Amino acid sequence: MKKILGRYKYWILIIIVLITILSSTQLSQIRINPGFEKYIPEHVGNRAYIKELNNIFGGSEKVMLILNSETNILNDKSFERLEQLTLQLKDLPGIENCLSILDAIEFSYNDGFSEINPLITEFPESIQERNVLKDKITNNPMGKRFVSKYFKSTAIILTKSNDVADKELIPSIENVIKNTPGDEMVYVGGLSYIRQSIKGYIKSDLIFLLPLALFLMVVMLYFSFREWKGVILPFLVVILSILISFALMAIMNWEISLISVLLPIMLIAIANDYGIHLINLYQEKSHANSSASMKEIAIEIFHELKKPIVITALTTIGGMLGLLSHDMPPAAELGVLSSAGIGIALVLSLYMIPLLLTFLNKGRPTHSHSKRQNSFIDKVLGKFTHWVSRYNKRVIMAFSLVSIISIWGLFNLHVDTNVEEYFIGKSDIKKGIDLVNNKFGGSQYVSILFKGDVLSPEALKRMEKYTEEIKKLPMAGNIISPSTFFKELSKGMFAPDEDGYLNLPASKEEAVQYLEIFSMSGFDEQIAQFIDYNYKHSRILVSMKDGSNQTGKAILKALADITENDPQLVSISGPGLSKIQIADMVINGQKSSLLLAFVIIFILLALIFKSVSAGIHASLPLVLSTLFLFGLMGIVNIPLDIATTLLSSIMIGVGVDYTIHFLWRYKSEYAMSKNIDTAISNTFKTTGRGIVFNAMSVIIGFSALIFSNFAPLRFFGFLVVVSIFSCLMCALLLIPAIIKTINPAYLKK
Amino acid sequence: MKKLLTYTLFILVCCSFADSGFTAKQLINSSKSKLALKNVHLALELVTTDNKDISKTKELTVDFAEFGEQKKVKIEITAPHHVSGTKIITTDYPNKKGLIEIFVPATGKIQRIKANKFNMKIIGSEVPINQFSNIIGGDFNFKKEGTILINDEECYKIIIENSESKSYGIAYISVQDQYLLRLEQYHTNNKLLKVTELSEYIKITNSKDKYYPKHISVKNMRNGKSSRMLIREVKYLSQLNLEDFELTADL
Repeated sequence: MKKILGRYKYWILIIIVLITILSSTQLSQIRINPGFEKYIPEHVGNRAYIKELNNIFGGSEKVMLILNSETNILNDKSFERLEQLTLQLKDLPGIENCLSILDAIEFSYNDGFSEINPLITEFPESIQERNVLKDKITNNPMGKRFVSKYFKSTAIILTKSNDVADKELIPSIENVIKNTPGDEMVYVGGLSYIRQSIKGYIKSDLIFLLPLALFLMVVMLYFSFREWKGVILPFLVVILSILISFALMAIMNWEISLISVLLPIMLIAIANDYGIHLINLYQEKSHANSSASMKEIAIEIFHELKKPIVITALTTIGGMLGLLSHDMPPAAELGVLSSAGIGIALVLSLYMIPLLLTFLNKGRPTHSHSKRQNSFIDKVLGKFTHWVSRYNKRVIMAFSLVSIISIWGLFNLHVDTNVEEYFIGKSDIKKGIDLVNNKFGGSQYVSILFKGDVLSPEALKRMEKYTEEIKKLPMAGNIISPSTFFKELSKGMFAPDEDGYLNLPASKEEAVQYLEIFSMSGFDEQIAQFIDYNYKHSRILVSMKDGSNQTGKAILKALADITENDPQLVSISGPGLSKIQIADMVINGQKSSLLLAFVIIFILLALIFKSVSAGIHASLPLVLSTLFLFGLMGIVNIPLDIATTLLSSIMIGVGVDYTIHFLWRYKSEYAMSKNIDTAISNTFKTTGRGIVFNAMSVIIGFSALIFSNFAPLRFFGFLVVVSIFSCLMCALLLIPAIIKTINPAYLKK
Repeated sequence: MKKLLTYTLFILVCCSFADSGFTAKQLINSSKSKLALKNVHLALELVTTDNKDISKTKELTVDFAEFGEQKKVKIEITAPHHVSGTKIITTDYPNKKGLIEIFVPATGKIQRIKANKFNMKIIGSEVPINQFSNIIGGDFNFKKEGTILINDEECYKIIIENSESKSYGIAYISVQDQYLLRLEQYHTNNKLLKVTELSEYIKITNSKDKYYPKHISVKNMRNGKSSRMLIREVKYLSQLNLEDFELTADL
C-alpha cells in the first residue's frame, strides 16, 4: 500500500482514467431487449409448437387497435377514419393481415343468388339503416368480435409477421395513427406493442431512476458523513463500477432486459458500501488522532478494513453468482455483471479511495462525529445492546415467531409472469390492455392445431363440438373456428328451407369446393387464419380474456380436456402461453439460485471463521430473512415474477455483509475484553454504526425503484428494502442474542 | 395485379386508336394485336403458391368468347379430383353488374354470384378472370423510357399512368417481336406491388397471326402469393355457340 500511495500513485490514476475512457466508448453498443420469449427453450413445449404454427399459418401474434368513442362508433366520421386506418395498416411491411369490421363477411342467399359480400359496403346515413346495421353486426359471428357490446369501440386486428421486429412495426403503426387524426382515442394492445412499450419504459427508467438513485445516494452520504470527501469518493467508485459493468455488457454482446435494468441500481446500492466503511473508519481515525497525516490514515484504514471488506465483497459476489444457476440467461447475465461490478467496486474502494484521500486535506471533526453518542442511530443501537444483553432469549423467540408466520405466508405465494401486469395506473397502455381484455375478449390467442383430413365431415363435427364447449369457458374470449365459418358460409349456399342451410358440408369435396369458391371471391385472408393453403391443417383460435398465468394455465387445461383423445390433435399453443414456461423457469431458477447462493455463502463463512458452526450461525439471518421475504410476498399478494425472483440472491449477497461485519468486530472486541456484554456493546458502538449506514445506503439506493414504470420493479424495490431491513435486524438483534445465549467457540479463538 | 392487367387490357383496347408513329402507344398496340384474347380455348396447369411456399396445382380449361356486348369466360377444373368438375362461367355486360355462375359438383347445385371487385380471380389463384377479357377502359398515358434487358431480351420500357389514380405500371415489350414480356404494378409510393411475366409465345394455329404465351406468372408482392400458368394447349375457336357458355344443374 505504501508503494501505491507513493511511487505508483500517478500511474494508478492514469490507468483508472484510461479504463474509464475505454469503457465510455463501449456504451453506444448496448441494445435493449424487453422480451423473454427467446430465452425459452426453442425445441420443446410452447415455443416449438408456435414455430410449427408459424410455419403453417404465418404470424401468431396479434396487435389490436381499439378506436374508442365517448358516444358511438357507428358514425360516418369514425367509419371514414377506420377505413383510412385499415387501408394504411394493410400496406405496412410486417403486417400479414389486417382485419376490421370492414372485412367481416355476410353470406346470404337471395332470389337464387349466393351473395358473399362485406358486411359493410357503405356507411348508412339514416338512423334506421344504422340500427339495421347494428343488428347485422350483432348477429354476425365473424363481425361482432370487431365491436364492443354498446358500439363504443371497434377493433382492428393485425397479424404480425414473424420476421419483423417490434421496433420497426410499432413505430410505423403509431405513425399511421398519428397521420389519421380523429375524435376517437386509439389504444393499442397485443404482446409486440407491450414489448415495445416496455423497451421505452426501460429507457425512461434508466434516464429517471439512475439519477434519482444517485441523488439519494449523495444525500444519504452527505447526511451520514457531513463532509464532501465522504460523498465524492464513494460516489466515484459507484459511477466507475457502473460504467465498467455496462462496458462489459457491451463487450459480451448482452442486452439490457427488464432484469439487467436493475444493474445500475444494484451497484448504486451495493458498490458504495466498502467506501462507506472506509470513510467511517477514516473519520474515526481522524477524530482519534488529529496529528496523523492523511497518508498514515489511508494506510491504516486500508490495513484494518482490507480483510472484512474483501470477505463481505466475496460473500456478496457469492450471493450474486447464485443467479448463474438461473434458467433465464438475463438473470445469469445479471449475476455475472453485478459480480463484476462489485469486484470493481472492491478494488477501487480499497485502492482508489485511500489513494485519493492522500490528495485531500484532512477535514475538521464533523458535527455528526463529535456528537455521535447522541445521534438517533446511536440511541437505537444502545437500545439494541440493552435488549440482546438482557432479553436475548425473548429476542430469539420473537424471531422464531416471525418465522412461523412467514412459513404460513409461504403457502400463499404465487407466480405470475404476465407482461400485461407490468404497467401501473392509468397509462394509455394499461387502458389499452384493459379495453382489449374487457371489451374485445383479449389479444392473446391460443391455437388448437389439427392435422390430416381436416375437412372431413367427422373432423368438422368434432371441431363444432369443441367450439360449443369452448364457448362455455369463462376465460375464453373470441373463438375463430372452421366449423363456425362453414355454417355461416352455408347461409350463402342454401336457401333457409334447404337441408344444407346452417349445416356443415356433407363431404370433404363439398368443403373444398366451398373454400375454392370463397377464395375466388377474394377473401383468402379470412380463411388463411384457420385453414392452411393445401387443407392439411386447421385450427381453432381462442382468445384469453386476460393474460394472467392462472388464466393461461386454466385455458390450457380446459382445452386439453375438451380435445382429449382427438386423433387429429397436434398441439395447443400460443404466444400468450409462453408465460407458463417462463413461470416454470422462474420457480426453478428461484430454487436453484437460492440453493447455490446458500451453499456459496455457507462455505465462505465456514472458511472465514474456520468453523462449520460459524457457517450455520451466520447463515441464519439469511434463512430467516428469505422466509420473511417470501412469507410477506404471500401475505400481501405480491407475485414471484421475473424481477422478484432475483430478490433472494441479491438479499443473501448483500445481507450477509452485516453479519460478517458484526461477527468480525465482535471477535476482536471479545479477544480484548473477554466479556460478552462488553464485546457486544463495543461492537454496536463502532461497527454497528457502519452497518446501519451500509444498510441505509442499500435501502435508499433501491428505494428509487419505487418510482419505476413497471410494477415488478416497484415491488422489487419495496421488497429489497424490506428484506435488507430484515437482514439488518437479524444481524443487530438475532446474531448478538445467539452469541449471548450460546457464546460460540469460534468467536473465542 | 388487377390494375396491371387493367392497364394491359386497356392498352389492348386502345390499339385501334394507335398513332401512326413508333410511339409508346403504338408499341403497346402492336403487342396487343399479337395476343389472342377471344375465341380461344386454353388447357393449362395452374400452380399457386402462398407466402409460406405451400403450393397447389390445378388443371383447367378456359374458353373465352364475345357474343355481341356480352363477354364470357368459361373455366372448368379437371384436376385435382376433389374440385374436378367445378365449372365457372362469368359474364360481363357493358352497363350492368357481371354474373358468376358456379357449378358445384359435390352438391350438384349451381351457385349464382353477382360479380364485384372481390370475386374476379381465377379460382384459387392470383390471376383475375378478366385477364381473358378486354372490357375495361380508362384514361391512360404512355411514356417510352428507352430499352432494358429482361431475361436476356432487349425490351422497350413503357410507363403506363392512369390519370385517375397515382399508381402506375411499367410494361416491357420485346424489341425484336414486340411481345409483351413483363408488367409491373407500383403503388403511389413507388413500391412494387405485382409482377406479371409472359414468356415463350406460341402461334395459334388457324388464327390470323395470334399468339399466346406458354408461361404466365404473377407474383403479388403484398401478400407473397404467386401463380404460374403453364399453357398446355391453345386452340382457336372458330365456331362458338352461346349454349356452350351456359351451365345446367345436370351437367
